[in-house]
Parts: sequence; C-alpha cells; structure tokens
Amino acid sequence: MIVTWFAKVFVAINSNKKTSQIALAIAFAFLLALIPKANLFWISLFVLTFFLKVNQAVEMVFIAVFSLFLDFLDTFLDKIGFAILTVPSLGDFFTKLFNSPFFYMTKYYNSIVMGGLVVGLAMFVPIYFLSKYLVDIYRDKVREKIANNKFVKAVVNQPILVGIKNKFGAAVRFYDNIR
Amino acid sequence: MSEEKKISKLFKGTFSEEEFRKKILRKLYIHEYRNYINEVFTRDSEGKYKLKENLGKKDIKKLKSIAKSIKSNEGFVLRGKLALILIFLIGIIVFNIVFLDRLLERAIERNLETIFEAKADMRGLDLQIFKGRLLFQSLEVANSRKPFRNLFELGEVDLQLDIEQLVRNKVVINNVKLQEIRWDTERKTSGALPGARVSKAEEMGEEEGKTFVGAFLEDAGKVVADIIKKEMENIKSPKLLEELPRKYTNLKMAWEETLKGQKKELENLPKLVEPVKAIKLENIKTADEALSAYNMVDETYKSIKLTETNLIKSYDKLKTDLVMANNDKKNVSATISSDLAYLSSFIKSPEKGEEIASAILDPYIEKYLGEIHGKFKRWNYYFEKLKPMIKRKEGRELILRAYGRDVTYPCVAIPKFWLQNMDVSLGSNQERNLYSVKATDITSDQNVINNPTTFSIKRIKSSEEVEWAGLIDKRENREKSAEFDFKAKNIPFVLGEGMKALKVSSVKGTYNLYGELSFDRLNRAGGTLHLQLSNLALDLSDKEDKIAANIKGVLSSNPVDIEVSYTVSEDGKYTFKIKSNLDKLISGTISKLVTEWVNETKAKLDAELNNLLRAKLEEYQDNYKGFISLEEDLKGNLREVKTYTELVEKKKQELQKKIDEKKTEAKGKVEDKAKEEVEKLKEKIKLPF
Repeated sequence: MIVTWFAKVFVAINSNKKTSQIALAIAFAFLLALIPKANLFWISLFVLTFFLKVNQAVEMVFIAVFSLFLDFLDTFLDKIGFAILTVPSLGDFFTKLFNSPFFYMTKYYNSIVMGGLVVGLAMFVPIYFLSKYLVDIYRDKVREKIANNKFVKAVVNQPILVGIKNKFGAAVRFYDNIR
Repeated sequence: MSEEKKISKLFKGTFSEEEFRKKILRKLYIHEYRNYINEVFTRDSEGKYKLKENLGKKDIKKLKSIAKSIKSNEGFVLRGKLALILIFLIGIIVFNIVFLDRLLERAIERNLETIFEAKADMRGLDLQIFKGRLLFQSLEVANSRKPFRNLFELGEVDLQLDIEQLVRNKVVINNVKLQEIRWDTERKTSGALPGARVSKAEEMGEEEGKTFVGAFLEDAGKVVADIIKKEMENIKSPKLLEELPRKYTNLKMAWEETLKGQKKELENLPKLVEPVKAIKLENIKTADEALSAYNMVDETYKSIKLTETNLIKSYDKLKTDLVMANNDKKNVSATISSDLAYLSSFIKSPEKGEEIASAILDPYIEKYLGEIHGKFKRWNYYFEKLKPMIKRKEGRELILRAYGRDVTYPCVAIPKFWLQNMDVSLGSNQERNLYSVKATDITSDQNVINNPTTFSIKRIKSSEEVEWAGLIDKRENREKSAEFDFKAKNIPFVLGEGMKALKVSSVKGTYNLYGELSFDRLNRAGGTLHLQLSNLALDLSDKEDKIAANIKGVLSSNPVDIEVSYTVSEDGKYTFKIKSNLDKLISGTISKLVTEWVNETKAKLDAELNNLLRAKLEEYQDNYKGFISLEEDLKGNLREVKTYTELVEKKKQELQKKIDEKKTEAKGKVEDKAKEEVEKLKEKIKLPF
C-alpha cells in the first residue's frame, strides 16, 4: 500500500501533471498534518481536497511525512494556539464562536487545533510556492540527468524492477483514469 | 484520412507562435514532451505552427496521450467526484426524510425502555426539523411490576425543541403540549421486556403492593399467623433448636465411643485379677514367698488404678459437658420466652383507652405511607436513570499525539437533557372536570441550571379534588432531595377490612386530606397528615351486637379527625404518632373487647410458637436425655473398677501383713539363736563378773 502511494507520487512528479496541483497537495498536506484529526476543520478541509484538482497521492504521502515531525511541533503549536486563544481583544470573537454550535464542533478552542490552523495557514502559501519551485527544478534539471544516468538505467532494467514497474504501472494507469 | 481523424482536436489546425506557446507548450511540464512537440510541429509559409504530415501510428498515439494529460490538468474542480458526493448526500437526506421518523421513534422507545425497564410504544412520530417540533400520536409505557398495565399513557404530544442545542448533542425541550394523559391503564399484551425477571425498581423494596397486616382486633389466628410470617426471620429459637439436636447427637456419639473403650478395658480386669484371687495366704511359708506375691499384686494394682484414673478423668470431662448441657437447656427455655415476648410486642395492646384509636389506625396509615414512599422511591429511581442514559459514551480513543489545552469561554450552560416547561390542562374548572399536569426543569443535571424540578398534578372531578405539588432537588449540598404537599377534598372511600372483630363489615364515607412530606438524601422521610373522615356509614355484620350498634351511632353523627406526624427511616421503617378524637368517641365502648382480644391473641401466639418449635424441641430433648443418661453408664464403670481396686488393695494389705508376720517370726528365731550362742560362749569363757 505504502509502496503503491510512493509509486504514484513518483509517477505524478515525473509525468505531465500540473505543477500547481502537486504544490497545492503538499501545502494542503502540511495544513492537514498540523491540525489534529476528528474535528470539523480537519474533516472539512480533507473533504474539500477531494473536489479540488489536488494530487491525492502526493497529499496522502506528505500528510504521513509531515506527521512524523508532529511530536516536535506539538509543544510549539500548543504555545502559539494558547497565545492566540487568550488574546484579550479576541475574547468576544471567540466567545461568539464558542456559543455557535457549528464552530464549537471545529474544536477551535483547543490550543493545538488553533496553533495548527494558524501555522498551517501562514505556511500554506510559502510551502505552495516552494514546492512548485522545487518540482519545476526537478523536472527541468534533475529528471533528465537521473533518467539518463547509466547506473539508474542499469538498475531500472533489472528483471525484478521491471516486474514491479509493470505491476504498479497498472495501478498508476487506473489512478490516472479515475482522475 | 482515417489516421488524421484520430489526431486529437487540440493539435489540429494552425497556431500562431503565441497560440502555440500558450495553448500547448505552457501546458507541458516535462522537457521530453516539449521537445517531442517541437519535433512533430513545423512552420508553414505564413510562419504558423502546424503538425507535420504523414505522422506514424506511434506519433499519433503519443500525441493522443499528451493531449489527454493536458486535458486532465485543466480546471480546478473534479466535477465527476463532486457529482458523486452530491448524489451520496442527496441519498442520505432522502433516506433520513423517509426513515428518520421511524428510526427516531425506535430510539426514543429504546431509551424509555431503559429508564422504565418495561416496553414503550410510540406511534406516529413526526420530526419537523426546521420548525423545531416533534409530534407523536401516542405513547404507552408499561409498568415493569404489572406487565399488563401501563405506567402511563399519553395522547397526542407536541414538543418544541431547541434545534441549535440539538446540533450540540443536547436535548432541550422548550415546551410540551399534550392532549391526554392517563395513569395505570390496561394493556392487551405484556409490557415485560424479553428476558426481564425482576425490575430494579421492584428490587428496591417498593411498598406499593404491601398487604394489610397486623390489624388490630382482627381475627386473632390471622394476626398471629401474620406476625409469625413477618417476624420468623428475626426470632432466635428456631435457629437454636436447629443447631442443638445435631450438637447433642454428635456429643452422645463421641461419649458412646469413649464408653465402648472403657468397657473393653473393664472386660480385661477379671482376667487381670484372677492370679491375685488365686493367692492363698496359708500356703505362703516364707517372707520371700510373701514378698514375691506382694510384688505381683502390686503390679496388678497399678494397672487397675490406671484404668480407674482414666475413668475418673473421663467423668470429669463428662461433668463439664453436663454443665454445658444444663446451660443449653436453660438457654433454650430463656430464648423461647424472649422470642415469645418479642412476638407479643407486635400485638397491639393499648393499655390506656386513649391509644385504642392509634392501634386501629396504625395499619391503615402504614399501608398508605408505604404506598407514598414506594411511589417516591420508584420515580426517584427513574429520575436517577436519566443521567447515564444521556451521558456521552466514553469509547477507547487512539491517542496519536498531544491533546493540547481546551480554552473555555463564557457560555450559557445547558444540560444534556432539559424539559423546560410542561403545562397540560385538560377539561375545565368550570365544568368541574379538569386534569392538569405542570412540570418545569426536568433535567439530567440540575446543578447546571441551578433549579430543582417542580411539578404539580391536579385532578378535579365533580366535587372531588386531588392535588399534588412538589419539587425534586438533586443539586449538590442540598439537605432535602424532595418535598411534596398534597391535598384531597371530598374523596369517597370504602374500608372493608380490619374491623370484623367490631362486627363492622365495611365503612363508607368521604375524606379530606392535607399533608406534607419531605425526603432527605438518604431517602429518610418525614411529614404530617391531617385526615378528616365525614359522612361515615357503617355496615354491620351483626346488627344485634350492642358494641357495633354503639360505634355506628357515635361515628354516624361525629366526623373523625386524625393527625399523624411520621418519619420513615432509610430502610423503610415507619414511626408515627397519631392523635385522634376517635379515642374519646369509641374507647369506652370497646375497651373490654380490646382486653379480651389481646389476651386471646397472646395465648394463640404462645400456642402457635410452641407448635412451631415442637418437633425440633422434642428432637433436642430426646438427644439431651440420651446424652445425660450416659452419666449413669460411666458411673457404673467407675463402680466396677472400684470393686476390683478394693479387692486387689485388700489382697495387698493381707500380703503386707503376712510379710510383717514372717519378718517378726524370722527376727525371733535369729534372736533365740543368738542368745543360745551367747550362753554357750559364757560357759566357755569365765568372765570376772
């Protein structure tokens, strides 16, 4: 399963997928990874990405990748979130939200949800552009070099890898078709 | 031509340089594709880009694949997926519209069944979610104690719900309107839940079905039977008599075993004594012979003495057991007497004339209070069950990361369930046919709203009026958990039990009742009742009886006033003080009757208790006698061994005497011999003196 998702990411980066779709997927993955699950914010954002032309495979893999660093980030997110939630001038605004059934379900009043949301949104645009830039660089400069590298060619042409390639090729084609 | 048709529309025609860059090249994100496109496109004479002619199958296929990838990158929204999700959502909404009412109906029934531990049937539920209304045609909740009766039945009900709170998983009912409410109605089918045996409410010792016991002046035999049935567990003599026969059977068996051993030892004694008996003193010639016989007799004596010592020790032990048996006998007698005294205390025996009314009224008041207390406990139990029903389920959560801190803001605290107001009024006061039920703040958490639950039930039918009002307070640190006031006016009644001894078969009349009752947190209750009986009509079973006629005459022309102050303990025991003008009215007439009844009942109780204990008592007495008779056997054994001891002792003494004789005889002989020798020596030696 994990190998399949990574294969799909590899295919997406190396095929004619729009760079912005890949970059958007990475930015959303960062946001979704930072916000704790099981609240209305997370569910809404996740469902939203289903309707948008965001590369799902890239999003899934990067959610997993970013989640690896959450242990280090949680303390920071908690502090940021708590600081925002206790800003006196925002008290009335948050009180209104707290008394609204919809926003109550978003769990915005939790320090990590708020911290994750704010940090995620703040980093959304920079991550988008950074990702776009990196994918472009890869496609323009690195991809060709790797593809033409003799060692890579030798490895890729190994019978065992050819088998795997054929196997995942079917999966990738299917995935492309449903997109 | 056919090949040309297969080429994607995207690449057909001619493109200016700007168009070629914008429409094609900018949409290609990898060099490989861009280079390829540049290869397959060529410029015409006007400088416009167009596909090369005579492209091979491979090229056409590749162009098709490129065109497809360009197409798939267009736009921002996945329309196909969006449509699928929309269809799914519409499906859920349609499903809810069609089936939601039925599902909700079943969910409410399930919750009511959990609370009342009996079947609940709701019909015709209609949830108008946007109007915040919930209507249903009828609701029946069965009585868990009486499965073929309903605890209550509601007609058409209209609930005004707070939808905003419903979204927050809280059930807040602003108002309730209902057309009909009925209590304790009949059911056609059993309302017991499958597998239900005894409901918890029933296990709590509900007094609703309490029978009328211990009636004063009732048939003495029945009163005695009731007292024994009720108090059998609390008297000691049956348990004592259950243990004692077994104890004495075991004791007797143990002693019989001991006696058996002793008997064997005694049987050996004649053989042991035989050689002693055979010794004939006249045959003993010398002191040595006597000494030898003496030693043999002494050995025998020691053996017999040992047996005797053992027997004496056993006898001492037996004496200890006999003392114990004697104490047990005294204990049995004392326990039976004390039990009799205890049981007799339940016979109402007013020593003064003023207490007669109290004795007559006691069972009625106890039964009435029992019903009130039982009902309170039952509804209190249902009320308590509201809490777990709406408590959020605490499932196992998979904690993958830190939870953070929840910052709370001021908000209106709302409990999970809150029926704010119910005001139901059926019929009209003017027509003297009114049923009114009012309740406020029925909630799962009174602490949140800081209000107790209040209610009032009023029933007016013709001249009769009954009203209950009160509050249930479950808030923390409150001394009283419930308080009630009740009033009843012009209520007709018929009493058909408890007055046979007065030759009164029934009493009819009307009563007015005013009372208050309060419960603390431990379900201890206290309150007062003021009861006025009027228009009394007595139906006599023996119209010739003078006492009955007298009572009828007095009560027909005088209303009876009764004042009761009472407390109910945690375990449901009642203590009450009754003041009534009934003493003045009838005590003079029936005091002789009362004395006779008390004596008769006490005698019957004594006989009944003896009868009850007879079998065990006789068994005990038989075993006791059997045991103490063993003393005689042991005494007989002792006597027997003593005979042998005496015999051997006597022989021993005789032998001792013989030895002494022989010693004296030998001593004489030696002295004579010595004298003879001295004389001989004197003759040989001439002494100077």
